[in-house]
Amino acid sequence: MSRRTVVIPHLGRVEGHGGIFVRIEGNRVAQVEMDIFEGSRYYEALLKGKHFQEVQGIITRICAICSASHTVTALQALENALGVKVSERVHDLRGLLLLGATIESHALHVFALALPDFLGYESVLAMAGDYREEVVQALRLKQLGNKIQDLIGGRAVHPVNTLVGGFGKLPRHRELESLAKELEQALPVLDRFVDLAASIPLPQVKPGPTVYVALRPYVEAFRFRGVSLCTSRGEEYPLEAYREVIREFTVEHSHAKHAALEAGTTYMVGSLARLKLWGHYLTGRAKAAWTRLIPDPGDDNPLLNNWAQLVELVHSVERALEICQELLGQPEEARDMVDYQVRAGRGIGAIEVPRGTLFHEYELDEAGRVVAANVITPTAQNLANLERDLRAAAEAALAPGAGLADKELKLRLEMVARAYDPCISCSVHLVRS
Amino acid sequence: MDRRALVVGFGNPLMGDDGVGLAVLEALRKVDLPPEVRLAEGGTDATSLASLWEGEEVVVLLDALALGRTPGSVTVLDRPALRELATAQPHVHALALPACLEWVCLAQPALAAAQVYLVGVEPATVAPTHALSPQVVAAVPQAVRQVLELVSGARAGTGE
Repeated sequence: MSRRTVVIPHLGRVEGHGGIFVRIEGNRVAQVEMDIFEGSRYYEALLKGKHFQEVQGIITRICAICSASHTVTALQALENALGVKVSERVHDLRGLLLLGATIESHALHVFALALPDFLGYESVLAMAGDYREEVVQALRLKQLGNKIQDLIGGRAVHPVNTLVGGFGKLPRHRELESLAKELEQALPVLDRFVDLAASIPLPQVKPGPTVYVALRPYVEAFRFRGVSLCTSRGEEYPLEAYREVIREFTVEHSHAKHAALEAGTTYMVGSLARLKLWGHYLTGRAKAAWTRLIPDPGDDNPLLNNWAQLVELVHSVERALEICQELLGQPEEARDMVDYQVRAGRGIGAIEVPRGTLFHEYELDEAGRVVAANVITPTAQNLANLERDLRAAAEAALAPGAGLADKELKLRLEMVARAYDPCISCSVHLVRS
Repeated sequence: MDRRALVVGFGNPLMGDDGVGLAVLEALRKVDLPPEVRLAEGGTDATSLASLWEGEEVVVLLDALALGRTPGSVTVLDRPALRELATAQPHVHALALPACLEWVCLAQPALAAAQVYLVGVEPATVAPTHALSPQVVAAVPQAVRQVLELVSGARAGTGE
């Protein structure tokens, strides 16, 4: 019996944390394992004993791309623990911050990491020879996301203006007007990216039926702030039940925790999950992009997550523009903070962030120090389902007539892993030879 | 001097020596720098350079640089040397600094005309810890000296 092993290293950049490992015996996929560094346990330990006001400075270090997402989710959890109710304007501004994070994250992933695969280039730089304008526009869109985070969060990389109780400084009207203009200019650019995506046939990966999980939006609209946890099987749970619904477990081959629903059912969170559950709430250009790029609502090809991110990118620009206009209709004020008393308590935060549902939970003592912290990232939730899809992709490659050589199989596996947009490598940054 | 310079520190201070770029940045904050030199933090995403650069003629990037040398070795690379790393570096998910730099230069051709350098420190340990290794701590003053020479125009990067 022939045996071959396909290994894709360098998936993460932390020493000793491998990548994708596939062992094939004859025509059978004997083993599929993915090992990554996923830092939530480390950060939880770092948070213990810290004052709640120090939490943000630590958790934003989890990842530069995800810092706004962790910030908003942590603030929600801490405010729930302290019994703080913020104003609708604060919710809107945090929503705008998250939209900025979504624009930045999706632009980087779809244009710089996924599109080169689909168009047959080694990297975004290699793509620039034939698609220079697209490569330049992609970075400008990403910068637009940064700019929103800079304006709302106080700086682009690790927000400092977002506080328990509100915002230390509100954006001025002239700043919002300037941002709105840039958002308007981004819409026709996105139309061209949707045209390009629609012209690319996606490789078919058929892993079997997938269960999708996402938060129910707080209003009947496509929103990232949610009120309950829903599955595509029709179940709905209160947020407080998240630890019973999401069963975290360890596996020998990975440094990261995996997650599954009851009875070990793996599931997917992220853009595709949100569109599967709440895509009918989309409006405008985003709705048109959705129906064009994902025409079959029953298609479980995980590579569609790339196009789902593009749809959300369009939505995020449209929605950010709406929020700017709403804020411009309100009087200009310097700050928006509510007073509160420090007290002991426990609070949960749950937000739909670019890669999926993010949970933070904190228990505080009477002095406001963190007694316990729990963070469940979208990447940890997706890992088990991703391994399932990697197995399906490897099995399809061995099917009669397919006969993919190792090089093509590696690329296909990388594409599946990339489609999930796992947050694995931005936790460190070093340059390697 | 009258050349304006931007110095950007990259890295994650909670991942051991990956945070050395920020440690060098902090050390520079304690130095009496000329007013033409601006310091900034770039986090772990080097495309943030696109938003941070404001037309400075000299740009110095600070980061961990794993070339397999003795931990604590300080290396200065110019843009052509970094460009070689941009094509040689394998990546599955993220874009590394050299690739980000080239991407930003494509979008902002004026940056391509600036003198861009990386001052890199060879890491000993990249793992979940908020402490730098002793070898890397010892290298910070040398990295600071290299930055000061680059921003003052006293030397140019040679790739070594």
